[in-house]
Amino acid sequence: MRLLLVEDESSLREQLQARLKKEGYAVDVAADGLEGQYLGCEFPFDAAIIDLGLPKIDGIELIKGLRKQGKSFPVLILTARGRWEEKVEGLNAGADDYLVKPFHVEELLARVQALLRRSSGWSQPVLICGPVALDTRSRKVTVNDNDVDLTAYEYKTLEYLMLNSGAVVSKSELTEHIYDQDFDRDSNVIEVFIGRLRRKLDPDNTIKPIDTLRGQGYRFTLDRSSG
Amino acid sequence: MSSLKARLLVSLTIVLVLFFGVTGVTLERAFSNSTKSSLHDRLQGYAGVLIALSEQSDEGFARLIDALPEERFNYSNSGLYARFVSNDGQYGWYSASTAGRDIPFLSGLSSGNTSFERFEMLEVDDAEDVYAFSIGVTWGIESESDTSPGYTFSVAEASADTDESIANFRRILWGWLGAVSLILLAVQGSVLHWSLVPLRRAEKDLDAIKSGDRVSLSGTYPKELLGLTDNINSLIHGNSERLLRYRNTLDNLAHSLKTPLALIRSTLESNSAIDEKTVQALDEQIDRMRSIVDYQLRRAATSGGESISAPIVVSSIASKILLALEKVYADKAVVTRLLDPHKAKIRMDDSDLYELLGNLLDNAFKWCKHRVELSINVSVPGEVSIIIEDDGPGVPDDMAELVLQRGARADTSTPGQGIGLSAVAEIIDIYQGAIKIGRSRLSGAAITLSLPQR
Repeated sequence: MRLLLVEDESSLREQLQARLKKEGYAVDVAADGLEGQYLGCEFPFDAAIIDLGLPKIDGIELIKGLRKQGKSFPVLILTARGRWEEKVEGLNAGADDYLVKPFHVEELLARVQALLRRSSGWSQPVLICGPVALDTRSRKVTVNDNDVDLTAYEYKTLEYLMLNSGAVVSKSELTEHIYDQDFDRDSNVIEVFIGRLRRKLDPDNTIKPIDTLRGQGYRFTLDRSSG
Repeated sequence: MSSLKARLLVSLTIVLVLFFGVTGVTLERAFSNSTKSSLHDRLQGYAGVLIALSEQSDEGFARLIDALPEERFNYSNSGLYARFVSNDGQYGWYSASTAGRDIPFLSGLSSGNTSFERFEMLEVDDAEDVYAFSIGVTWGIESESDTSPGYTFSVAEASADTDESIANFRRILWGWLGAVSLILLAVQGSVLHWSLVPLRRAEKDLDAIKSGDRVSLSGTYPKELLGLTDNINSLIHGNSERLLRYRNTLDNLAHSLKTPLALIRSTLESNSAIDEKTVQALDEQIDRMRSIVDYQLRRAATSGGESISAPIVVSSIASKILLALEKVYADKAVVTRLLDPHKAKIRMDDSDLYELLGNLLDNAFKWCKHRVELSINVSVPGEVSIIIEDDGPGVPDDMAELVLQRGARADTSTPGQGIGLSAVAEIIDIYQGAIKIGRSRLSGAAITLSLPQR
């Protein structure tokens, strides 16, 4: 999952970026509204975290601008003011949730997680497709109630595929959403992850959760069981 | 006297009355004097003729040598009378018209002296007042040997004609003066009315501003009022601008205080070297600081309806908040209903209404299962009632008072519990409204607000 973080306070920005990366997100950062707008329009983000009090272009204008450009990824706003008028203005400008500073980072992670899930049409925090269940909060994956041990990148790949279950996801799309822009991309890595996921999820080759569509990409084939 | 109009009218009336009074008296005097003086001249003329037609006989008394030229001397009660008498009272002559009358002519005037007087003869029945002219005459050259006593010639005319013409003049004079004064007063009144039209318009406009139908004194005012209206406009403008500037400053303050707090918190949480207990203790302090900042900023930013603002339609803001909250609580798929049959308006600062409804609706969304209902009504004239209901667990009766406790210091209350509601209670208090927590027919809480529309 690739996130855009726009925050002008550099220390907070760096800490949040580090924490989000640790959680397995690809994070691109911007220090002002203008940079945020550039990044937001250029790269395929899955969600954005935008501080409302930004230099150059303020948060609300930035959100309006992104929505005008047709960017539909969910946006979480951070506000120091906490006034309802501002929250409502932000939400009605196109944001999807808000968080009042100072917030707990755990709270931020939970909100981002929920937004990502919701934007792919999942209304529950646990994604269930047939025997495969992925808990977006605890980052645990089970198959037929048996825990499956995944690395961070394997988890990220599976989460992205499950969030978009049924749809064809190209290799480059996966790369873009799993790595941030500084990462040295190598499409072979994706093939390796997919191979390992198949082995871990389906050691007996009975449920066949991931299809390979030659020249197009991958598809998570199991039907959604939870809403 | 507080009315400008009354002041002007009273002072103008006094000036008018004084002016016309003095003018009237002066004119009346002048006319009366000139009438009397012409009467004097006429009577003097008659006396001259009388003197010319008389002579002193050798015996030493005067007599009339020819008939008088004016017939009225010869008829009784004709109103014109003549007489001459010697100053020693020995001789006298009366015109025929004096028959039966006792006219108090003067006598004993020495030569050349004249008198002109009006006599009132009240004591005689059907007597008339007269104006009488008398002159003393001696014939011949006065010498030491001359023992002639001299004569007094008198002519009198009934005063009726003169008096009447003076009275007529007076009547006409005062009539016209009165009429002109009335017309002038009426003209002044309407000029005044017309001149004060801009003032009344300003008053009306101010009322419209107060009731929120306008935002400033617009339109054209006479230049005498421009200073006043411009000042009022800049006052209104300055007032709302000051509040805005104030809020922006506070917002910036909040921003610059809370971003470091957020940083401290995230540092704490990401640093595994610090033990759990320390993290918890510091975290509590961060929460406390946040609450204090929130509380003080909210207090400072609540306008309290001091600014002159236009009434706002409650549901226009409520629907925006509902829309925003539906997004935030998307997972719950909350079904909302907004009822506002009267499109109720209220005079309240936008931000205050946002805080009020935002906090209450957020609570309702937080606690509800699937339904939140908001109904806005003008139940009592001049009072808007807002009822927010949900289908959640409701508020226990013994908690209802507690969650609303006014003046509960933010730094002593538990974060996340009732802070929003104490903000609500504060705003309601400032706007002199009331809040009631009850049970909804949806089974959850029903919060009823009553706010004066003002």
